Amino acid sequence: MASPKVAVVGAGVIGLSTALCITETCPSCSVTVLSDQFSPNTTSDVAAGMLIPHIYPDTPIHRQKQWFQDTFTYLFAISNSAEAAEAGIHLVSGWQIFKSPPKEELPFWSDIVLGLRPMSEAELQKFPQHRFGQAFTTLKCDCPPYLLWLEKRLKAAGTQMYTRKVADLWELHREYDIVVNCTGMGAHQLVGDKQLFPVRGQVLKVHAPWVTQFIRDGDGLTYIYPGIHRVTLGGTREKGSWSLFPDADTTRDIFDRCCSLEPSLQGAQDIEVKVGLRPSRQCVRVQRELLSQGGIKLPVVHNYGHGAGGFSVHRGTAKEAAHLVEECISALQGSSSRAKL
Amino acid sequence: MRVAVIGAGVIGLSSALCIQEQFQSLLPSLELEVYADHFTPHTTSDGAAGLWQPYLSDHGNLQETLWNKETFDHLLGQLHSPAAKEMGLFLISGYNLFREQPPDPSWKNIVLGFRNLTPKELELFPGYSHGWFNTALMLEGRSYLPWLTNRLTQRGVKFFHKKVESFQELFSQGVDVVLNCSGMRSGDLQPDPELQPGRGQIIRVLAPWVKHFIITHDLKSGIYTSPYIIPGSEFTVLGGIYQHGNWSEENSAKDHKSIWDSCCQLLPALQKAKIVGEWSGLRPARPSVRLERESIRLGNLQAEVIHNYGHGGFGLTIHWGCAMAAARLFGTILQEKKQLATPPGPRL
Repeated sequence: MASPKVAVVGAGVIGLSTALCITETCPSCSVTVLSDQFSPNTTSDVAAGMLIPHIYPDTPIHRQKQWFQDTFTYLFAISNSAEAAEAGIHLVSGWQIFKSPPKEELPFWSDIVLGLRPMSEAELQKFPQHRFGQAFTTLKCDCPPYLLWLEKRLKAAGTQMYTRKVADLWELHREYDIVVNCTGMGAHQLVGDKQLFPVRGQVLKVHAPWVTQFIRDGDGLTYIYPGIHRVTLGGTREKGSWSLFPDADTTRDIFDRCCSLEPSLQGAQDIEVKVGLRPSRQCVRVQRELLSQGGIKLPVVHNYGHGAGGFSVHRGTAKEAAHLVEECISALQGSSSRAKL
Repeated sequence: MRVAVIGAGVIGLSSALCIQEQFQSLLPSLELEVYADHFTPHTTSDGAAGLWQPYLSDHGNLQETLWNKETFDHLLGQLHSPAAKEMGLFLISGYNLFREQPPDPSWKNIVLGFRNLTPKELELFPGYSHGWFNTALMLEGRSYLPWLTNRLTQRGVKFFHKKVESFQELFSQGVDVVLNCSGMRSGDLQPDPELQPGRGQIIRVLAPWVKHFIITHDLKSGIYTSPYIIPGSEFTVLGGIYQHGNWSEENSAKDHKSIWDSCCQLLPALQKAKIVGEWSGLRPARPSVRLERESIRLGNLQAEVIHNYGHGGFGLTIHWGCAMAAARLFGTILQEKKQLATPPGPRL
């Protein structure tokens, strides 16, 4: 197979990073990205893009750690390069705070982020309702810049990108040899995955350039993440809610919760409200599947279900998915050489 | 009781505020006046980036370390107040970098979360073998000085835009006590060979992705001679110039290139940053801060001057401790003049 034709469905952080990995591992592949939405209208654009992992209950911890390590290493190198500003990647320091001490004093990722240590008494005084905390430095991927940067890298690698709603993967079997499914929440409909469920998140993006530190409550519900131009205030975790409409009471509640952690936010300007549906699953689905219909085979690589942790593990799962694409290519080459006999 | 403050930088305005807050109610006859040839945004304090950080060593000047600590603790206490944003006050974390093992700084236990850098963090800064991480404060002069000015104006303090040529000039008008907060120009009022300019130059850029301060050090060539990057609320300051004895307030092309090249080497992404301004200023450098009373005989009158100048590149860092000390000196003067039974405030 001289030039395998690969279609990547989905143009959020998972689709674009997976497409990019495929161009890196398989330079002879012709890669096309198909999506009904591109930045700034993807779920990824709503997220703050903080590298703080989400725990998937059914994925082995060592695999999650590898994904996070791969992602952190990759972004660390970009943050240290001349491209950092264009790619929207920057270091940010701050605190994760707990009202009652967490089960695990040290999360599995504590040696991957930078300088993680318990907060001192003096630091905790800033948060009178919290008893314990961790101070560390991590990375943030600002969107749209990061997605636009990925798109630019893809174009440079010869990848075509088209706005197209794919209603059925079989639509693609004539034009493409392999399909990579990075449709996030769309997989619920597209491949009928009932294990995939939305966890609705509402956030506020505000202008508050004096906020340089991130603050995150260990319960994951309240957070303040300073980005390049805006600070993301969150949030909510509404399991099973499909609504993409901002809720005014929720906005008020998020603002109040964040102001109680960082009173200076009272002076924040230009409040923008956004909603995203985290494509949640007990484990991220990074898996090959050979679809079969009327004697025709369609190799599919799935890479979806990252829930609240998409940015944290995106490069790691993209690399795995790219390897699965390589396996698909080998399998196709094997069967095509058999067919020649 | 007429009190004249000479100088409207951070030292003059904060000294005026401390005195006003502590003595106005006890001394209804108190009339405070501020005289200056430059007001915000044209003072040295306005040009400074505003990072709270003393020099690495206090050279045995424990008093200065105490004033620094007093300032930090005072500002930390203001962080959650509604005034913080208007004051230009916020928390910031960052890096101090060295090419050799440095001694611990005098302020290690004053700032928050002080620690050594991990090997992984040092990878961010090739060429630097040691470093510190800590969380400190920013106090932007461009916001803080207007805030101080508003507070003073609300409390009836009068401002006069004029260059005072001598202490005598004010005393002959009936001023009782003069606070000399004239920074670099103190030598014009009273010769002081120990006061010398520490010329600095900075480039202002838009680099909002930079969320940490980065201060490099060259222990042999001295403070602020090595590149530094300090992000503020509106722009990021690039610097690394300290020229002892240079009185020029003109921007130098050579210094511009030196700052630009060295900061871009430190943070390659800065090459894409847009330059929005450039500024040169004179740090009023002195082996130690001059904070003391001086009684001047004028005929049969004893005139009192409280000197509060020579804060070098750490004026914002030390200002509140000095203002409180100046206020205590003022209290002593009042006591001697039998204006007060005992001075207010805690005994130090």
